[in-house]
Amino acid sequence: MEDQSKTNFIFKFLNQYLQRVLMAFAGRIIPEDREGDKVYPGADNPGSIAIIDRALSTKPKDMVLLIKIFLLFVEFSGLLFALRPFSWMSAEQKDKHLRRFEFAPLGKIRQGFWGLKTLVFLSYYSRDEIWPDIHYPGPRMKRLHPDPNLRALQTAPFKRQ
Amino acid sequence: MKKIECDILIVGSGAGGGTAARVLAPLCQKGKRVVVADVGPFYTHEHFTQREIEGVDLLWDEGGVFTKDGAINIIMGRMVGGSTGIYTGVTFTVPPDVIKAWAIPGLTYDDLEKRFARIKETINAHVLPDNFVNTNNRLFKKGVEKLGWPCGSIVINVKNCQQQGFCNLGCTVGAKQGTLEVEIPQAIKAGVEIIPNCQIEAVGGNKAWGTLAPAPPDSIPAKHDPGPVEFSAKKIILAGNTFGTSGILLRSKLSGMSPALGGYVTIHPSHTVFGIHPEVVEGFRGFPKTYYSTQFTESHHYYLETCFYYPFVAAKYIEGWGVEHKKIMRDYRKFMAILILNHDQALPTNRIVLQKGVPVLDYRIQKESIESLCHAQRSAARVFFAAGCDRALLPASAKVVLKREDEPRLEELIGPRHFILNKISIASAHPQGGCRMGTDPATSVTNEWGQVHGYPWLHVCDSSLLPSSTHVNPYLTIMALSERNAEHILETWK
Repeated sequence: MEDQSKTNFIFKFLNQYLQRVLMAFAGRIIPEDREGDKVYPGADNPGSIAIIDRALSTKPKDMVLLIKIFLLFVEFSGLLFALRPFSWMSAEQKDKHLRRFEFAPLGKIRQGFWGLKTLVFLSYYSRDEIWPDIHYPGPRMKRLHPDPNLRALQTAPFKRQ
Repeated sequence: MKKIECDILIVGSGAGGGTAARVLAPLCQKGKRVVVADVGPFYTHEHFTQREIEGVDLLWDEGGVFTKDGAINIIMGRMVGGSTGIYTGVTFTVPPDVIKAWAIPGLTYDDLEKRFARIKETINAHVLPDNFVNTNNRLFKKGVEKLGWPCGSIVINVKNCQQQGFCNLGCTVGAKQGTLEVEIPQAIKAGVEIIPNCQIEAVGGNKAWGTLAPAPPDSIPAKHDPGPVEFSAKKIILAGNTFGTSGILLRSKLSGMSPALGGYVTIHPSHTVFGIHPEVVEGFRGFPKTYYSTQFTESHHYYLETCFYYPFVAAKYIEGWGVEHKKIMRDYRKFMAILILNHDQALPTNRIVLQKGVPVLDYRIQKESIESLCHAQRSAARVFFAAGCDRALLPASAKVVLKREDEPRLEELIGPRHFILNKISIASAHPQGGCRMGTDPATSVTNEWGQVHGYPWLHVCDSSLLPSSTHVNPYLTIMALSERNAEHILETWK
C-alpha cells in the first residue's frame, strides 16, 4: 500500500482507490455542515480514513477482506442504479444508494453497512478536534499511550475554513 | 516447546479465574505451584488513558466480536482481570428463584448468600453516597419515580473512587475492585504465578497446550519466552468465559463430552438509549451508574439501569446517519442515557461453535426478547419524557427522533416491525453458559462442583457454568460459584 498523496498519513490496508471510495462513504455518513458562520467538518478527511486503516490492522484478515469487498460492492453497485460508481454520484444519489444498503433485505448487506458506518463514527468521534463541537471535554487525565502513532492520529488537525 | 509443570493451572483471570486463584493461593504456602495463564496482557491501571480508541485493545477482537449472524456485538474484556477490568462494578445479587430453577444438588441460595456477603465485603461493594449521583442518574430517578415505578440503588464495588467517569475504559486510579485490583494481587503475593498473553488451545490428559505471545508495550511480561508452551498440571481449571472455555473444550475433542457443550448460551441482549434534555446533563462526568428499576422485570423480563458512554459508543448506539445524526451528537452533553437489559432464555440451539478453530456464538435472538426490548424502549421513552427530556432516541422506532408530542403514540411508533436486525445496534456484555452445571451429562457439561463430567482433573470456574441467565449483571454470581468450586478442589486436594 502507499501513502496518500498530499498527506503524511500512512495507509497499510486501503489503497488509493479504496481510500477514495471510503472517503465518499464517510462524507455522507458524517457530511460537512454549517450553522451560521461555523463550519462543522465531515468525516471525508484523510485523518479519519487513516484511523479506519489503523483499526483494520487489528482485525482478522478475513474481516478486512470482507470490508474491502463491501466497499467495492458499494462502489460498483452504483452502476446498476445510477449508471455511475458510488464515488462519482451526487450527494443526493449517494444518500439514496446508502439507504438501499441500510434497509437491504439481506442481513449481511445491512451488517456491512452498519459495520462501515460504525468505523466512520469511530474515526470521527475519536478525534480531539471534534470534541469541542459536541461539548465533550475529553479525558481528565493526560496520559501517554505506548503507541505514539495512534495518539497522533487522534490529535491530527482537520483543515477548517 | 516450553514445558511448565504445576499443580494447578487456571486458564483465565476474570471474575471466575481471579477468584479461583485467590481461593487456591494458600496451596503455594504448602509448596504447590499454582499458575494462572491468561490470553490477555497484564496491564496495571497506570496503562489506561480514558480514550476510546486506545481502550479497544482491552477487548476481545478490539470490540469486534459479533454473534454468527452479525446482529449482536459482544463486549468482553481481554486482559488480566478479564471483563472486571472494563465493567462498571455493578454488584447485583442473583434472584433466589434463578438458583432454585437451576436445581443443582447441594447448590443452595443460603450457601451463595453467605458467599455474596463475604465477597461484597472483600470488594467493598456498597451503595454510593449522594454526592456520587450525577445529573444523568438524578434524572433517571426523577423520571422513574414520577411514573410511580420502583427505583433501586445499585451496589457498586469501588474504593477511593475519584468519579472520573471512565470505568468502562479501565479505571485509571484502580478504584474499581475487580480481580485486577483485589484477587490477582492477593494471589501473586501468596506465590501464584501469572502468565499473561498465553492462549490455551486445547487440554487433554492433565495437560494444556498453547502459545505464549510477546507482551505488548506498557504491560507486565511473563517470565517465559514467547513460543509454544505445554503445561502439565494435576488440576486444570478453565475460566476463559463462555467463549474461551467452550472454545478450548470444543477444540480439545475429549471423548464422551456432553452434547450440551457450547449450548444454552444466554447473553442479556441490551440497548443503550438516549433522551435529550433541554439542560446540560454531562453524563460523561461523575460515576455513571447508581440507579435501576425492576418495574418490568417480572412481567416483561428486563431491567432498566443508568449508564453513560463516550462519544464514539454513543454515536454507534444512535440510529441514522448524515446531518441529522451529526446534529444530534452536538447535543451530546444534554444526553440522558438508559441501559436496557433483557434476560433471555437458555436454549440448546444458542451455542458456541468453532469456525476455523475460533469460538463463535451461533445465537438467534428470540421473538420474546425482541418484544421485551421493544417494550423496554417504550418504557425508556416514558422515563426520558417524565424526567424532562424533549426528545428520545430509540432504535426500534419509526422515527430517529421522537418528540414529547409523540408520547401517546409510542405503541404505534416503537415495535418489532422497526426492530431490524443488523441495522440497529444490539450489544451484550454478559455472555453466560456453554458449560452449564447439572447432574445429567446429556444436558450439562459440568457437575454440581464445576468438574467436567468424566474428567476429574478438569474443572470450570467462570460464566460458562451458568445453566440459565442470572437475570442481573452476573459477575457476583460467577465469583460465588467459582469460590465454591475452587473451595471444593482445595478441600478434596490429595
